[in-house]
Amino acid sequence: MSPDVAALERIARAWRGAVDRPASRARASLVLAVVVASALVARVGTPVARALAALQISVALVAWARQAWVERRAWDDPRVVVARAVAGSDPALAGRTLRAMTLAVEVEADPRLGSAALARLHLARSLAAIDVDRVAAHAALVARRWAIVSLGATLAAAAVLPFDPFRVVEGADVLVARGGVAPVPVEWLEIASLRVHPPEYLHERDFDLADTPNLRVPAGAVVTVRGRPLRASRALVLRHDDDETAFVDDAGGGVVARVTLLAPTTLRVGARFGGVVVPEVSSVAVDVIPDAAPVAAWKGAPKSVRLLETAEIPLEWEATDDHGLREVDLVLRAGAKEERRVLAQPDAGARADRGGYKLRAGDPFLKAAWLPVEVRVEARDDDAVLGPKWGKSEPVVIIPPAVGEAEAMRHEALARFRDALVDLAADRIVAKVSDDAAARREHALHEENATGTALAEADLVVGARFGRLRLPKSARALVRREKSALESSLRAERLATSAKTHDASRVVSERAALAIDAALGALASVDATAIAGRLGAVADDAADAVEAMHRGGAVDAGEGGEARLDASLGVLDAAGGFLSRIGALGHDLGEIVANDLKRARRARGGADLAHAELALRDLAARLRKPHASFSGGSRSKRDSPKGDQRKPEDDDDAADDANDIAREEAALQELARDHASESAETEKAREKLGRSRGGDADEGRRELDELGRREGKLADRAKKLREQGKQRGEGKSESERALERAESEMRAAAKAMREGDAEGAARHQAEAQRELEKAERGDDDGDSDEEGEAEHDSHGKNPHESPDDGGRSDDMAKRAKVPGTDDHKGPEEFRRRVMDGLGKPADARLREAVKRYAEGLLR
Amino acid sequence: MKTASRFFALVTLAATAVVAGHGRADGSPAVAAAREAIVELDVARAADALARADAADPATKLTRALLDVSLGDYDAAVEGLRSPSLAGVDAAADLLSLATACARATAAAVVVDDAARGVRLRFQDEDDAPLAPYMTAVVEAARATLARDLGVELPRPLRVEVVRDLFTLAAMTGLAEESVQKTGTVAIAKWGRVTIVSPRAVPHGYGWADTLAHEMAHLAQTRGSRDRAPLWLQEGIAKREETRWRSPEPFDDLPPADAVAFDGLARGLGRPLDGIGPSIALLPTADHAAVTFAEVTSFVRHFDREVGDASLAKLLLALREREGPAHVDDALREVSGATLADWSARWRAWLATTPHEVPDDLAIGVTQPHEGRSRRDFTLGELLASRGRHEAAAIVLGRAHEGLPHDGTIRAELAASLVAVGRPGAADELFAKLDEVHTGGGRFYAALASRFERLGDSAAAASARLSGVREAPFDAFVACEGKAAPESPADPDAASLCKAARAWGAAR
Repeated sequence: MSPDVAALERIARAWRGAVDRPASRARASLVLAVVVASALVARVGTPVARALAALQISVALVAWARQAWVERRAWDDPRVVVARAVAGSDPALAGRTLRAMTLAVEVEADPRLGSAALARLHLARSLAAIDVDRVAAHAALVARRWAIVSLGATLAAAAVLPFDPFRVVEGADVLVARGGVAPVPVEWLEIASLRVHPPEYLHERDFDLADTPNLRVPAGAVVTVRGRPLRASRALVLRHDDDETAFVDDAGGGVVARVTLLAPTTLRVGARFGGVVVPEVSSVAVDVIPDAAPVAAWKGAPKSVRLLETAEIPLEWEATDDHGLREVDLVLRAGAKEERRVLAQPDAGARADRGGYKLRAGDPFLKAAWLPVEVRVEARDDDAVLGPKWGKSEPVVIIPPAVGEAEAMRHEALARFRDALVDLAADRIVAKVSDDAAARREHALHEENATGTALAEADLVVGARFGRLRLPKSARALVRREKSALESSLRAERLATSAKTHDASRVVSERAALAIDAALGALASVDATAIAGRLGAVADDAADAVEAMHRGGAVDAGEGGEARLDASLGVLDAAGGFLSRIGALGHDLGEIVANDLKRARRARGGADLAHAELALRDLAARLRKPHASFSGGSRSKRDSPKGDQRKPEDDDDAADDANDIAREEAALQELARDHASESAETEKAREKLGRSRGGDADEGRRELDELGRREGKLADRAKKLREQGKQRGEGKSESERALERAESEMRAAAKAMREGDAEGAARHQAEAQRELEKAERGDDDGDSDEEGEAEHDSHGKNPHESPDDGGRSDDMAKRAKVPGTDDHKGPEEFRRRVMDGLGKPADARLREAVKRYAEGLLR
Repeated sequence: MKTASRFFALVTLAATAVVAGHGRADGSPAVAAAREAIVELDVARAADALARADAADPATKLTRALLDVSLGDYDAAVEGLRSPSLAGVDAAADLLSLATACARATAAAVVVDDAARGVRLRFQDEDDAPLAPYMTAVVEAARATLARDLGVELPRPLRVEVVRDLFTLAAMTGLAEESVQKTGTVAIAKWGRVTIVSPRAVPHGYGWADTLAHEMAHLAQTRGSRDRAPLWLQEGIAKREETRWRSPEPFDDLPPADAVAFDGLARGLGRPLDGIGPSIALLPTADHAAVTFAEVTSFVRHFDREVGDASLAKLLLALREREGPAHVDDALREVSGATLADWSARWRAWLATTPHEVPDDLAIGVTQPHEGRSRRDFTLGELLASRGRHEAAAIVLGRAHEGLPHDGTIRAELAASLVAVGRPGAADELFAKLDEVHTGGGRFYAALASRFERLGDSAAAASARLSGVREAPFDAFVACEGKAAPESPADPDAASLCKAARAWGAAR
């Protein structure tokens, strides 16, 4: 080691021995102070604050590390030793020494600059001149200064301790949080209670959560958490799933938070620092019992029923719910059409209900349906938290007769009677009455047998039902009249068998054959016209489906699309076939249906939906004018004698009577059908008015006004029908009286509609409908052409109404709050008496009054 | 029925409306030329003219739509007429309504195109398609006759729309359905085509072949006169031409047009020749229409007979070159040296000298004694026959025949029952004196054909059969030449028609 080096080491040791440690301590204290300050900044919790804190700490640590590294290497440089250790105490000497060092280095590198020996000598003398003690004294002074810095930084870092040192921990926790949640849980709250308040509609008492098995609460329950905060001034929250509720002061030194539970969750207290939550150490997992949808069921469902084979469909329903039923509806759906009828509105808290309902073939919805009708019972609960839920039963599928099927069957039955009469006439035309007594007896026997065959057909056709149809009353009367004439002529021929009596029998059978043939033609014409009208709507529906496919490319069962089109085409196919079997007009129109379907299918097959739609629109337009393809004047009398078969003859003609009666009968049926449809429209308007506000209400009133106008027209039709009956000179039958009452009710309904009284209009319409149906079936002979509507009884034993009440049970259920069967016996007895009373037959007008009276009593 | 003059008027009015609506002069010779070509049924010339016209001009668009309708391209017409530039133009709205109805009625219809014979048939009901060869034959024969008689060659292809009912006939021609029903109209020549109701629409058929020839005569006159022939001439020539394309038949001119015209005029059912109105289809009743037809038929025959030497062809040519209120008189004077008033007076004077007895059963508005009873007997007879009770049917139909002895259909039904009960001799007697029969019909011709066959006269039988098909092609008794299923006629076309007729009959 050279003397120079040794001198330098001495100087360095003297300096570092005094300064290094205090300096190092001071730097550490400074870093600590920065970290503490940064934690407090981070506790604010905002992203900016947390970023700033992180930056501060990072900078401090980097600076600290860098300084340590620099310090370790700096003392290896002699110039640094001189500069740091000597310059402070003797700056001149330090400068001279540094210059000597520079000279020595330069001469060493370039001997031409001077003598290296002299330069080294000069350096040695300079180093020798440094007073180590003086260096040590100055070092002590510097060390003291560092100690002061260290103390200051330490004191600054510790300044937070007297106030709330835990804040630094919170800040640090917040600083290192991920996803808004700090990693280190902290105890925040001493929980005093966890109370559960079940939803009001359950009518249950509050309870402690801890008392429940498996910590289960009903959906919608409110859990209240109370406690005492362990640290003041923290923003405490109650966390559940991804949500949280802030605790608030409970004015008793504690805090409280309430949370409504809809699904299983974990409750955990936490403290919120800006965007970060520091969670509580412990948590509570709570299970939630959901409010299940009601369970509704038909007895025996799912099942299918063919309407053609049954006059009425008795249905028994049952509905249950875990908490309470609010309403039970009968829901009828056919394609896009839907109708709901209220079956029951159980008392609050009732968890089960049951009842019965009879759907009749003549129900307006079923009569208007051409697609299978799904009948379900749907029950609604009283869930006030998530909103009412509906439970649906399996469906009872009612397959309506294909459009025209019943009419075709009826036509064919009457045609069989006509054919029997033609055969009878044929026998009589060719038969000769012999003078021989034995031959006459044999003839009489043959006549009896042949007539018996025809009479048997007459009985069959008069008594038969074809789905919801029967032979119209007037046609039945005609059949009976012809039957009676046949019986009379047969009696006469048996009493005195002769050419004269036989000829009289022949004339009777010929007339009967022609009369029934004419009635058949008239009935066929009316039926075909009505069927075509219904099919027009189906064709339009099919065209709409194609249009939906064409425009939107949609294949949607609700709005349009393949399924809807296929359903409509299927109906048209079947109905076209039946239509073809109903007389000349039916055959003509049936052919048109078949042909236009071929056109539509041809286009559809070629992906030419535009033309498929056009063909179906053409069919719909044609069916809306359901007259014969060729009708009216003929170009010349060269046409066949069938050109004008309706010309009146001078002698009496049963066929003309048959035509008139059959037309009027059909017109009455059509009126009843149209009126039923109008009633359904009014019901919808009434519901709309009930629900609507403002502009919607105005629209509802306008709709009602329009319905009133239409109801007036229906009344005019009733009047015209009544007058036609008068013109034929018929006495005032029960049918006519019923028609008169129906007209009066219709006019009252129209007036109520114009005055915006939907309730009153509905009542009058219901009455009018009942009278129309009475007129249709002609109550004077106690049987009907068509089946009536629905019958409804609740709880399987107490009918809400009489069968004649026209299916208004829904109204009854809505208006009359009837005590539940589960209630005490007094109301049950009262209920039974009232309902029994309503169920008994009574005059229709009185029945309405009784009903209103009962409503008043029961409300 | 003829309403081509209305068609021309519509074209003109439509163009005027468009021009007025847009406040600019027409000034498009190309559009005018196209309109003229459409009226003359020259669609190729119309298309060429329109190709030269301004495509954006509303008048061009409307004329293009007219051409599309004439070509039977109703979809294109509808699309063109929906152009915003035609919004508010009444004529365009009317034409759009018609084109839409046509598009609906003909959507996915069956087209039978016989390019060789220049006929394009479109059947709304595909079951009518077996009629195509028969219709084509009628068109071919009538085209030749019209070229010979009127000097007018009809366009190729000639388009015939065979529709299923009066509803469609009215919709496709723009006439009110009530008018068409009231007058019993079954075909209309309009929009450059014939629209005819299928014989299937009429329970016992109708004379569709003569009707088709009648309507073709209207088209020929429209073309030949540039649609300037007055209605009386249109209908008179059409009535004359409706039977000239074929060999005469027993009931041609029965009842005689001259006698009906005389009788009708005497009873106030007739109209002055120049006072018929816009169309015979729009006359108040079928009786008015029948008398008016008889008037114009008788008059035109008289005129042709008196002037001779292709007078009708010359008259059409003379009309073609004339316009104005007196153009008819001018043309008549050029061809015959006299005006319409002169000719009308001459004709009425002549009419009074002709035999004017109309058989009672054919007289307009006259009901036969016991006609109603006979008709009921006929109905009962048909019912009995349909049940196979031919012996009784023969008795009852015999009663009907006694009441209406001149009715061919009753004779035919009676003959069928007589044959069925083994009395063909009695059946033949019903056809022995044809002059006793006043009305025919498909079944009558078929029964007549059977009689000819029994007599061994195959040519007469074939002729009668064809006459039957021209009346009631979808009656299986007629179409199948009296053969019972599964036997069919040997001729493939006849066999196809027989098959269709049997299917139709079975469905009934």
